[in-house]
Formats: sequence, C-alpha cells, structure tokens
Amino acid sequence: MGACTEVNTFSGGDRIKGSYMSGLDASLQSKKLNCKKIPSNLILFVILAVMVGVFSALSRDFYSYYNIVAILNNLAFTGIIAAALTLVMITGGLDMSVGGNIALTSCMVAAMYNLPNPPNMILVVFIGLLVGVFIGFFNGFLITRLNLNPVITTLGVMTMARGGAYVLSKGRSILVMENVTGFLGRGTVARIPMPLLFFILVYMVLAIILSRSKFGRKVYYIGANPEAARVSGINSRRIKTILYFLTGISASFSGLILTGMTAAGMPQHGAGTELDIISAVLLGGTALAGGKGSIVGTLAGVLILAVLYNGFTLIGIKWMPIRVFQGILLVGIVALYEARGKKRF
Amino acid sequence: EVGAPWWLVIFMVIGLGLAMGAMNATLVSVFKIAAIIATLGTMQIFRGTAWLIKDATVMVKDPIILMLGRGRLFDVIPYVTIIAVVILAIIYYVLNFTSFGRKVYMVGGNEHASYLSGININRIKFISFVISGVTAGIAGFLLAGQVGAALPQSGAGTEMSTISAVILGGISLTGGKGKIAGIILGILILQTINNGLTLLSVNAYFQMVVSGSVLLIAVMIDVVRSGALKKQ
Repeated sequence: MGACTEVNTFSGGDRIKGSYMSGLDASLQSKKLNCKKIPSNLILFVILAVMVGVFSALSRDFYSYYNIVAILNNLAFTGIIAAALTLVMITGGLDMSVGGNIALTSCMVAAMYNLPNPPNMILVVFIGLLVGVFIGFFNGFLITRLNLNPVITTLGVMTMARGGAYVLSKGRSILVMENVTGFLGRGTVARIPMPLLFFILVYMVLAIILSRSKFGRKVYYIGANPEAARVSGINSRRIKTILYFLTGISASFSGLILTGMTAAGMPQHGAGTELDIISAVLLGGTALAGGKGSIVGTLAGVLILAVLYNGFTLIGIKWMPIRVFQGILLVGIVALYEARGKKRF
Repeated sequence: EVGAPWWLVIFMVIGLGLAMGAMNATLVSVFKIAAIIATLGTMQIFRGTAWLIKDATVMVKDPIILMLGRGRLFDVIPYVTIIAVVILAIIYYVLNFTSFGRKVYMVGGNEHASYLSGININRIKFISFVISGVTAGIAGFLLAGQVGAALPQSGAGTEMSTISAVILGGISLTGGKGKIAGIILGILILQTINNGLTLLSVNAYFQMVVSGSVLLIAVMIDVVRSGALKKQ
C-alpha cells in the first residue's frame, strides 16, 4: 500500500514524460503516414464511388438530379463545421459545442427578427455570427488559458448554449420569413444553391491554409508534438484559440444557413450534429490524438456519411436503426484507424 | 418486462448492464479507443436499440419493482436510498481495502509504472467499465420502478449530471485521485442546486444553462486543485 501512494505522488512528473514520449511517437508516425496520405484518401473516395454505385442499383431515385442536389445541399451545413473542426482536431482538441452553437444562433436571429420593431436583418445576421465568435473565444479561453479538458469544457458550453436557445425561444420554434437568411439558406446563384457555394468556398480556403501556409504547418506541429512546438517558439495558445474561434463562427454560420433552410429558429436545431461531424472528421483520417488529418480526407468523410444516410433513407430504413448504425460507425472508424496506426502498450 | 417475475428481471438487468459494460470495456482496453469517443458511440448504439425495441412507453406493473423504486422502509427511508448507500459502501470497501482498489488508483496515477510493476492494466480497466455498466443497469431498473414506466428516452443527459457530480466530488479528470466521500458530497451539492432551482420556480430551460455552468465550474476547480494551471 505504501508503494502505491508513493507512485501516486510521483505520477505528475512521469505523466509529463509519458506524454512527451507519446508526442515524439506521434510525430514520427505522422511523418511515416504523410507519405501514404494520398493513397488513404484515395481509398475513401473509392469507398464513396462504390457506395454511390450500390445505392444507384438499389434505388431508382438515388441517381437523380434532385437527389444529388439535395444531398449536397444538406451536407453543406455539417460540412462547413467539419472543415473547421478538422483543424481543431489536428491540434489534438475537440469541440462538442457546435450543436448548441447552431441552436443559439438560430434562436437569437429568430428572436431578434420577431421583436416589435426588428432591426435591419443584415445587422441581425451579424449579431448571429457574433454568437459564434463569442462561443469560439470562450471555448478557446477556457481550453488554452485555464488549461481545461476540451471535451468536458465544450460539453458544458454546449449545454449552456442550448439552454440559452431554449430560454430565448421559450421552447418553441419561431418563424423567420425574410430574405437575408432565406437567401443564405435557400437562394441560388447560377442555379447553384448558396449553402453548396459556401461549402465549396470554405473547403478551398481551408485546404489551402492547411497545406500551403505557415499557419497550417504550425497546426500539424502542435498536434504532433506540443512540447516540441512550445520549445521551438510556436504560440500554440494563440493558434488554438484562433481555431476554436474558426469552429465557433463556422457553426454559427451553419446555424444561419439552417435557419434560412427551415425558415424557422428552433432550439432543437443541430441536436446530435456534433456526433455526425466528429464521425466524418475521424472517417477522413484525422487522428483523435492529433497531428494527422487533411481537409480532402474530411471532404471524403462528409460525402460518405451524407451518401450513406441518404441512401439508407431511400432504401426505406427508419431513423432508429440508422441511429444505432451511427454509433457503430463512430466506434468502428476509430477502432480501424487505431488498429492501423498505434502500437499496443 | 411484462411476464417475467421480478427476480428474473433483476437478474436480466444486471446481465444486460454487464454486457454493455463489457462492450465499452472491450472497446477501450482491447481496441485502445479513447474512452470518451468509444462511450459516445456506444451511447448512441444503446439508445438507438432502446428505441428499436419499443418506441413507446411500457408500463411497469410488477408490485415489487414498483416498491423498490417508490417504496420506503418503515415508511421513512426510500429503498432507492438504501440501495445507493449499499452500492457506495461496497465500492468504498473495494477501493480502499482490496488489492483491486489500490490497483485502480495506481493505474490512474501512472499507467506506465503500473504496467512495469506487473499490473494487468487491461483487466483493471475492463472490470472498472463492467462495474460502471452494472450500476447503470441497476439505476435504469430503479428509474423504471420510480417512474412506473420504461421509456426509451429515460436517462437522457444523465451523463452530464453524473460527470459534474463526480468532478465536483474531487475525482481528477486525469485519473488517480478521488474518494467516495467526495462523490457523495458532489451528488448532494448538485441535487440541492437542482431542487432549489425548481422550488424557486426557475425556468426549466434556464436550469440547462445552470447545469452546463456547474460542469464548467467543476472542471475549473479540478484544474486549480491539480495545479495544472501553474504547470503550463
């Protein structure tokens, strides 16, 4: 028993050493896997192609213009968040608050629209985005300055945000029949729906930032080996805060799109979305421990999940088995990647 | 839960809890999946299955199950409380007076050192997850008795309040530290807040905001106490 307590007191020092060593391992691994990055993304796109083929064979409606546009349109709002979350997860963090963020933004916009004399809608939309900015910085502050566990922290923030959404809307859904959010959610430019346009734009910008800029390299560095990143003078607190801010603002932007799509501000908007988004990012090859991942991979993950759910619905599977499947998928994906990459302890 | 006698139901509930705990345990200790993601996935699986089995409310009519959920010993002490005290006492004993309990602390405090000193880490983790599964099963059984019905959506959001209570009670998020007395205090604090807010007729939606804040505050206290703030 004496030995146990002694180990307990020394655990702090050893823990740091342990994480330092595993960080080194991770950086070596990411170097090894970076060479294989293109093939592993290729596998995902092959899986996607096979799935499209299978669903086209199983359901006549799958391979129609309207269904394809519907899939792309529906994946836009989760996809935008998934892209931003990829960056956060590469640094080894996680953001569970996105669903609550969507709901709070949506209800904030709806509540302001329904004021006796509503302000200019463009102003309202900006205030909606400010919700995401605030939540993002709040997450970033708690996680990087106070050194809190990202998962538990953002879980708390999620509950607060969703609670706030319920308080604002008094638990009801509020109609939003106006043009600004309507244009974001339902508008088209040259027959391309706006959500899809934003989706493409966000992926292009983030893919370039992540793979071509100094900032992007630092993101990988922080995830692969936080200690080495700190020693070599990278301000990881600032970079992580920027990433949480990015996720926050993209979540609230998705909230705006969703408000436009449904023409309503609902406190239930985005419930459970975080699970789908995290599954998509993990499927795209981003490691939970950080240091690995790419925007192209996440794009493949988002597409695969969207095609899967759409195909299931068209075949006639109800939402309850799909929900069970969601869980199996999440666990299965992580188990698969862990089995591929990690040595056994 | 319609035809079977009450003792068979209890037996099955414990078996089910055991099976679900074992599933979590396998994912975490054999496949090495991060516990949070693994249990997030299984949460979705189990709740989806609950909806699949019966997407409507099932009435509980068995008098003994109802009595266990609602009844009181000598009309004073609720049976639920007695069961909770018994389980807490067993876990207190196991944690403090058995070699398994000491190993639990050791694995949490320093996994590598425990591995080097010959502790079967996987087994300790496995058993811990199974215990958690069994207690969740018993809680579900008692809840069904208390409500008088089995609902697929019962227990939604429980994980939030449970984690809040445990962290409030001083169990470190990084592992290796914590006492049963702390957990009891954590639960009492949380329940007092909830009950107080309800009695003050605070909006139920606002209580959601409060429970999120309580979780955040609990994590902050944990960080300050463990000294991680200074380390950075």
